Amino acid sequence: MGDRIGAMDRFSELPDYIIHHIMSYLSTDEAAQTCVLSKRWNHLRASFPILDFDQIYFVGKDLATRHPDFFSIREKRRFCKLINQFIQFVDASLLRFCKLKVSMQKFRLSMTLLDVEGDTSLLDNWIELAVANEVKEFDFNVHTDQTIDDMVYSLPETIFSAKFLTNLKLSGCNWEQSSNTIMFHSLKKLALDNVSMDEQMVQKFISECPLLEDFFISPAWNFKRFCVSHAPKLKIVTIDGSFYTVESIEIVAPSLQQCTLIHLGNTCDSLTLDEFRKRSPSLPRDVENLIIDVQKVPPSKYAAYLDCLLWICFPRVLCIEAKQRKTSIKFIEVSAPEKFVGCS
Amino acid sequence: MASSSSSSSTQVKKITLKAADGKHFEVEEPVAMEMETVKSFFVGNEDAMKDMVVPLLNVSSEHMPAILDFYRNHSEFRKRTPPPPAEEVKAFNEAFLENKSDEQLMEMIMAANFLNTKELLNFLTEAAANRIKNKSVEYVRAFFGIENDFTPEEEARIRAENEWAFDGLDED
Repeated sequence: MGDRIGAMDRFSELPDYIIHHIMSYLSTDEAAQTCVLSKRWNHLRASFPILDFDQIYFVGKDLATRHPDFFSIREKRRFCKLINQFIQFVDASLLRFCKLKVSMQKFRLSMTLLDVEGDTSLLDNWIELAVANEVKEFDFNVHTDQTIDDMVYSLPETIFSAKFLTNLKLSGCNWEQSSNTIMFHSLKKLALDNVSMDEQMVQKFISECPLLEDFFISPAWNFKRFCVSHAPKLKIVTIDGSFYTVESIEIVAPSLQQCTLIHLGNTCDSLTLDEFRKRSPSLPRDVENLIIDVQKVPPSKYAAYLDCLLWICFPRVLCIEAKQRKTSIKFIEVSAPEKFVGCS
Repeated sequence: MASSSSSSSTQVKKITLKAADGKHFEVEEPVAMEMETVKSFFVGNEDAMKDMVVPLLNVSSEHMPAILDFYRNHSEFRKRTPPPPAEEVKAFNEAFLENKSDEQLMEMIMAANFLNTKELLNFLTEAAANRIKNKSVEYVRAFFGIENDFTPEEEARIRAENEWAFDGLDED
């Protein structure tokens, strides 16, 4: 006990940011539990700059993982009640944090929207608060239950002025074309999962985020031509065509290390990964990993694909995923460059 | 001995660090420079000052050997090509934390904070977090030496407000 009292004197001096640092390694609920430790810790909890809100903690795993279609009337009512409690909690926590005028490291939201129209102003306000508090990582995942509401939430214009963003992950919302200038000068990672937006907007994004290193999109709905250019730092690209309409893909990225193209449909005729060749014809840059899923690409097009890929990107590892047509792969003749090690 | 500075040009230069209790530690210059606090001591002063003793007011000599050992190993890990296998780094880190009491861990966090080294601080704060994961409120209070200054009513109210977070705790 004597030791503990000695420790108490010394550790009470732990600076706030060290405690926040320790909290950052805890799960969301564990970090939240620290609020009951003491008055100081309650305050530290309120000023913790990682704001992670996930409805699963409120509605429970059972309701969160089942589809609302299969809820009984009672379960549905309970679900709505718990979601509303969650909304109130998020709102109160955000307002309390924003009063402290400290910058926000991360804002994460994962929730089901029961009434898109009714929730829009609330969500817009949360985004505005996060942007005003210089949010760096923004992970926004809203799902609409089509049986309850067939609308999809559209992101507000405020998001474009989030100039401190380094990571942006969006899921389940609309992102409409805007005349606003994109201010994402620090953005390194952009992930668009189930976000409806058009080709021009993606292109505008990539060309206006000079530090972008990692780009993910799934699925690329209604895209015909997918063009990535003016991306000097882009290292990792993942495009999930989801067998839709993509006809051509062109990637001009001198720093590219990993390119994953999956679920390209049989509409994809042209694939160009350029710049490697343009930049230094004698000493091409290596693409470390190139993963292409050609499940639905007709075998007649394999050769053209591979030829282009091998000569342009010099992948060290080339993984062609064509599970249903594995046998076809064997018959392709590829003129492999020296550096090519193996084909799986 | 007097000519050590001229004859030791092929040897790694050493810097002397003085712990809070007065004990001296001779440390290879690149290892010492892992600590921003030591580095900033020399910034602008360059060679003329390199034989000075750097006082580390907040670091007890008890933890210096372990801390220096961490810097030496991790700077070697970083330099090695190809990089060391993850298991090797993990094994070193686990051995480093073995037999360290909670108090020693907290003292080292304070030392790492004073020495201003991100890598060591990240490593130790994560270790502290791992030790309080899934523990009861009482356990965590004891771990950090926190005095509960809530009245029972206040504590119950705050707990009720955050009811969602209090499921599945070990009473340990």
